[in-house]
Amino acid sequence: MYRLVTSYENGTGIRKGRGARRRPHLTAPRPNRIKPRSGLSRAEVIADQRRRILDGLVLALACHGYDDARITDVVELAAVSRPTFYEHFESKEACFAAAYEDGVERLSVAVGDAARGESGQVARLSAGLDGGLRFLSCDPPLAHLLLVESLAAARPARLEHERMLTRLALALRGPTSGPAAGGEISLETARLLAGGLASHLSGRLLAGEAERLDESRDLLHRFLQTPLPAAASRDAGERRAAVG
Amino acid sequence: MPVSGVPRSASDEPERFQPDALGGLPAELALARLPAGRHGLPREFVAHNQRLRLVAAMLRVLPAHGYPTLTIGHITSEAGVSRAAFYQQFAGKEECFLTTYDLASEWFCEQVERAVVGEEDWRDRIRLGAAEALRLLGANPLVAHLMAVEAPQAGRVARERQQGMLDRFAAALRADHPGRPELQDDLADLLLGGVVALIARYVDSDRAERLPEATRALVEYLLIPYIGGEETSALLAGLPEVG
Repeated sequence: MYRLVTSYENGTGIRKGRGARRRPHLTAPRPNRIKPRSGLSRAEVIADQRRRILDGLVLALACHGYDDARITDVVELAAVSRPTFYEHFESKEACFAAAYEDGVERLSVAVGDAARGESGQVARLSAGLDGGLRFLSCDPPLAHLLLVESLAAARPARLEHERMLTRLALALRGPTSGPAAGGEISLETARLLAGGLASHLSGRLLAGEAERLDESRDLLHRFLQTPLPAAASRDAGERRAAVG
Repeated sequence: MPVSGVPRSASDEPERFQPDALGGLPAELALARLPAGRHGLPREFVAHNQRLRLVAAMLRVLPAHGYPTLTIGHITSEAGVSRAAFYQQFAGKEECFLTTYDLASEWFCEQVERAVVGEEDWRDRIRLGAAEALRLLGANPLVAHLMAVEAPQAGRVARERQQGMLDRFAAALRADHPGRPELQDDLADLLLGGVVALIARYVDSDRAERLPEATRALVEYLLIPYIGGEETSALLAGLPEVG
């Protein structure tokens, strides 16, 4: 496996300057390049290159931070040539945006798959949260990209992050077709919940606990379920029992 | 006039956070550059004036450059202070940033705390505190930017200072008030993380002035963990629009 060299010494993973920059200490498996005459179509080769570039960017960011990661690092980690990189993306920024979008997409597939088949909003929320935490703790560099790097990086990246939170907020509100009476929270309130969730996870990643994110499971369950009528009344009942 | 020489007296509530008007400077000199050459002003006075002007300049130049790429030159030319004078006041960019952050967060916390002083009902305290916080930040977009966008990316110490400020609010959310259900301890931090994200979103989309529009949602969000969604919406339905 790989080991992140990011020390987080200054709290964000931002390097202190070029001098402090280190090569990634990666013993990562080299990406499996497609051999010439592999029989794959041109489209398949291109899709494979793109996948490797995106993964390479994620790793490069985890090692160097957004400001210090260079395209040289990305092409090295992706095992593609520099011209190939530029055939896919015009800049590091464009590649970042694509990697971020791709990461959010994969995260939401993981969440959706986990939640599918559960009935009731509480059960869907729980299953989705578990799925998301599992996904993130299995892929620390991607978690770093989605939850830490996007906060520290330049503004376009921050806007990507906020789009992700909005998407999460929409998911938290659940199907809007349901009865609006009681417990229906506004989108803004759902965004606040999403922001609380994300900043908790960012804090844990910054503390170097990327692989143990799912320890926050119970806490986050309680947090996200507070607006749900069933959970709230149950908790209120428990509180009353505790007081009485 | 926003010029205020005695900003912390009870009668005079500064609507705007203006570090160069803080610190007991005479109002007529507080915002002005000092005259060049021999002016006979005491040395400590000049130093204090320069320090606060540098802090005010830091606040103003941050949005254009962002902390990671900000240089001392950006700050000194905005402040109209020499580089040598900068280094007499601060060891470097980080110290200047931290001083700015401390002044702003102290001002912010005091204003919010003052807004709820004497309020008995815990729900009203949350409502008034949230409304005041968003009103202050809406009136001071530079402070909103400093606290929600720059502090998280200005290094470990800045993050610790920010955490210190959040802890102050978290303690208020946990503190006992008659009739209030207990908040599970660890939820206070999660709640405040969401608030910082809200402010950052408004700042990043250039809508910091409109933060007060989020007051109702913020109050809803802060009340729900105590009394649940249904009781919160019932409570909010009975209130006039705030903000």
